[in-house]
Amino acid sequence: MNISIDSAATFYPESLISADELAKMAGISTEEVLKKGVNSIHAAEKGTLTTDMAVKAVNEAIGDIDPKSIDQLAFISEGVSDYLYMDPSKNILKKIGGRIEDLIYSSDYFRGNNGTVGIIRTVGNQLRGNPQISRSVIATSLIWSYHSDNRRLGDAFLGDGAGALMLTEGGERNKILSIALKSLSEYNMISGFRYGGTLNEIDQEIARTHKFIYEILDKEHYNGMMEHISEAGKETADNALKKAGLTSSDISYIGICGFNKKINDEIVSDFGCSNVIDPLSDRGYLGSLGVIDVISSFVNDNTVRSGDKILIIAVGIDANVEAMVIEK
Amino acid sequence: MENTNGNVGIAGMGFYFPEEKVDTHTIKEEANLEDWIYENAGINTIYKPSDIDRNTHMAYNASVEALKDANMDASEIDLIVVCVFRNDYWHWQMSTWLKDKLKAVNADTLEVCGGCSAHFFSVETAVDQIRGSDDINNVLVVCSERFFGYGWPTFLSSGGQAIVLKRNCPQFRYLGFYTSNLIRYHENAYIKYGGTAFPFNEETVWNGVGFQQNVEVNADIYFEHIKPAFFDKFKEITDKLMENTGHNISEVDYVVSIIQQKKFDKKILEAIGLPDIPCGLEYKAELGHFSGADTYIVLDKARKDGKIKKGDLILSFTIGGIAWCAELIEY
Repeated sequence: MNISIDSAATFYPESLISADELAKMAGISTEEVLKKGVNSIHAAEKGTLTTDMAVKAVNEAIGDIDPKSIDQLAFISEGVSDYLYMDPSKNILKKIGGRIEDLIYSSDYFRGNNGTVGIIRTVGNQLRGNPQISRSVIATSLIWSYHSDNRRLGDAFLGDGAGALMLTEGGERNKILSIALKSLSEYNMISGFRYGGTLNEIDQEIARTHKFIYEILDKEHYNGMMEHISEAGKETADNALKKAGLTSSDISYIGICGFNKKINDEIVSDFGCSNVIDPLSDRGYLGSLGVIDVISSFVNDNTVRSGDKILIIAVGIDANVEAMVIEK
Repeated sequence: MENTNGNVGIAGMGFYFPEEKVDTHTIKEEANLEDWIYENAGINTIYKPSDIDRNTHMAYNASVEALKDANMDASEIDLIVVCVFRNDYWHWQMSTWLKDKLKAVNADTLEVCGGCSAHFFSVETAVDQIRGSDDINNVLVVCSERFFGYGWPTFLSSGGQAIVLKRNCPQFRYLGFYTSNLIRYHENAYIKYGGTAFPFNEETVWNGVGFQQNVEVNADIYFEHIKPAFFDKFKEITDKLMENTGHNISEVDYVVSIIQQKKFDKKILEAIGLPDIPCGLEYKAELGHFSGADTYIVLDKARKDGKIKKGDLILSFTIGGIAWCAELIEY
């Protein structure tokens, strides 16, 4: 796949929530929070809009590029946007000064909280297969204070932030060498919003009692995923290497997007690479933002040399397990 | 730009309809709808979901039918694309559930969020996946909405719709897609509470149960900016689509569009200069509006009734929010 990442950017709100504060919110000890690998997370100020954070990341990613030259804005609809019924991709396009009339692809894609690599693949195929799309931006933006159980989702602590990637076909920098996807689909009821679908409608009582939150839907599915996630992560990463025609000795960096230090370390240790990019400690579990964060760290670090390769592995509170290899 | 292979067609279509059909007269009386509104809608019966007709149930059954129609095993599916406005649960991957339930062991999954136009984009995205890759050959696109009752400007039905898209399939080949947007007026309808702009709190006022009664519509935006251009937009996308595909409007043999009010099709056909072309109108009064996948229900009926023949050019229209969408298909 000759798709390249022209640029990558992230935005994190200034405000931090420490491990102590997370522990108090969750009713557990600080040690338990630290044991999961989280020292602090970023948290958006009250009144911040999801799309405003996305715009900050998108504007940084596109830089001097004319926003009207963007043919597709693909928003990853993991979290809750400004409104329940208004496509965030369109709001973002308006706010960045993108094309808002005639032909413009404003896509709102969803692959749970661990689907960014799959969406990169989707957009990559659109760049190759759709003559009307030459330049795409993928964005995500997450604010969890209103829609989580004190920022907990199973074993994870949810951090806020936004990220964006700009992709084109045939570029020379930051080439995507391979993508590998796996689905533990037997565990298909791990996470979602219990209320707001057609099984459990929202009424005034639900709206007023903080029940419209992202949560574990079925504990057995969650436990099943937890049993297999490390193995699945390693297998998917191996697959990505194989697809790229590489071995772990060809890799200079590993990026791990996960939610738990023990699982992250288990996966990474299999590949014998000492340069590890892992945002968990300072940012918490980033969901769909995690892969963008790692890509941004890799492509924007001037000490990473041209030709260096990164193996990115993503595991989440989700059935999707993903990996990709990028060459700077 | 290099296209690996441009030929993508519909190998199979499958649908699920709940058992119970309801005469819309009963809804008119219960909802106290004015006569002229009822007459404008032009829908006689709609499908009412029972307790068993969950989004998942309808999607699964439609998918099974589509695979049968395509003479394909689920293991041959490389990608499942789900487009559902509101699923059993909010922000939950039905595509993963379907992969497991169908035993589509080789399928990756994707959900496309949004309303009716999102289904159009699901199909176009699916076609792009086949055209833009070497390893995606068969894609299952699934929609299932649990709607019922009057929802301006028409009556809403529940049901599931699934299509199987296949590389090099000679039937129902997609020749092109075109969309025109008025994103400038995107805020004409939205649900105010529940997002990050106005999060739920202890004093939220939420009307009734579910989303419908909480949609706020800016009628001024609609009447001043959207309605005047509404049917011209269909002409615009038709002209662009014909230009891009190298075809002439006079070559079109059949038109399908999503199911809206009674005069909707007539106005579109007049706008595009094909006032007398067959368009499946005879089916619509007994269906109601399901989703953006209405067009495939009508197309399937036209196919089974012999209303279209091999080689026919079919022009298909969807409108969702502020996106007008057209696709050109060769049977």
